[in-house]
Amino acid sequence: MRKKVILKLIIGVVVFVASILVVGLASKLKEKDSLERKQQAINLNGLEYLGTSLPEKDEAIIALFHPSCDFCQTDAQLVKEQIEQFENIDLIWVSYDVKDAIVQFSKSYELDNLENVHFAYMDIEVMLERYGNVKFPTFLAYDKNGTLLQKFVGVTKPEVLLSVYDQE
Amino acid sequence: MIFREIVRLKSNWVKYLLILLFLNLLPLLVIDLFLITEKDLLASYLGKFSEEQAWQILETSKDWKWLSYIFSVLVLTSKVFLVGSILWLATFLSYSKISFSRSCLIGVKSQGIFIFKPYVLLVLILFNSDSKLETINNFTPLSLSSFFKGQTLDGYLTFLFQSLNLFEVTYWILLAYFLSKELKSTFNDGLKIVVSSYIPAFVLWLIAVTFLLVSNS
Repeated sequence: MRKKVILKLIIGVVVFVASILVVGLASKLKEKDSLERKQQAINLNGLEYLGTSLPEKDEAIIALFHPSCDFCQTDAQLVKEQIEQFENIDLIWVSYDVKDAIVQFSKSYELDNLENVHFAYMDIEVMLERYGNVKFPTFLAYDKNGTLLQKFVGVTKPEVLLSVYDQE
Repeated sequence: MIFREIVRLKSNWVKYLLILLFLNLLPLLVIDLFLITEKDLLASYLGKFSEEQAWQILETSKDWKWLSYIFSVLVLTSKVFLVGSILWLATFLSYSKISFSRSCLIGVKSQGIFIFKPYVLLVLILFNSDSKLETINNFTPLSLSSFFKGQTLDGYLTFLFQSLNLFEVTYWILLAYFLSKELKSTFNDGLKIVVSSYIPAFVLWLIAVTFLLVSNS
């Protein structure tokens, strides 16, 4: 008799936990899918450019970053060193940090006076809504039609970033 | 009652577990100490990070390497312990009863099937000396993920496909076999207990880890 009660209790708990997890999993997957769909096409709304130049090339890479993140600083340094390779691509650095910090970042890595490198501020709410809980840096490489070619999360060397355009 | 059972070393599941841990760690140690050189590691880090960072990561990973062995010992021990508990509970709630140490022994013996994995890896690395780290990263023998080679899958799908492999299925069969021997019953009876206890727990574990992976991706 007691065994039956224990058995029922165990089955109940297992089914309960499993159903919570499955429902949670389904909603997370749905959320992930809708975020991915949002990022499929380039969206430059909600950006407040902090320099003088505006993006005008066919292809663009959006770099989501934070001025104080170490890996973002490394990538900025690498991009600066190999800037001539980005000749035909707009590189748009986007952050939700205070505008002064973004401008300071662009100056520190001498990326502020380049025709194809742009820095922009984006409200944190917009970033969360469009890109979700992003890890910095995240690079989104778009082709000339504004379609996402590939997303790179974490520190990414310029040659790796550009390799998606070579395959086209 | 259970605790008295656990510490009772007279039943030899602890002895078997120690042998299992040793056999499991041996090939991993050989790979780390003799086959994977610092040069290999540095080359793989340089592919992703700048030189300074690559050196830093190499230094840190050297300092913390020992932790990975302790972690693998803990994982294996907890798995045997958990499987033992599940089987003990299942038999306790069904018609028959076996002692906790005997059910842990069944867990340890069946776990033996997974011992082959690191040895196969060792042999593969010996023959593939050009791309050792790649061999380690892509090492998921006899699993569903073999059908998706060359495709980039999301982290949670990779985990699911890697978890479903022939070793796992053999493990279920071994559990059922040793359980039936212990209960002096037919293989079918053993299989029934495994299907109604271990497999639901395994599925629950898969769902839970997938949930965590999706949440953090």
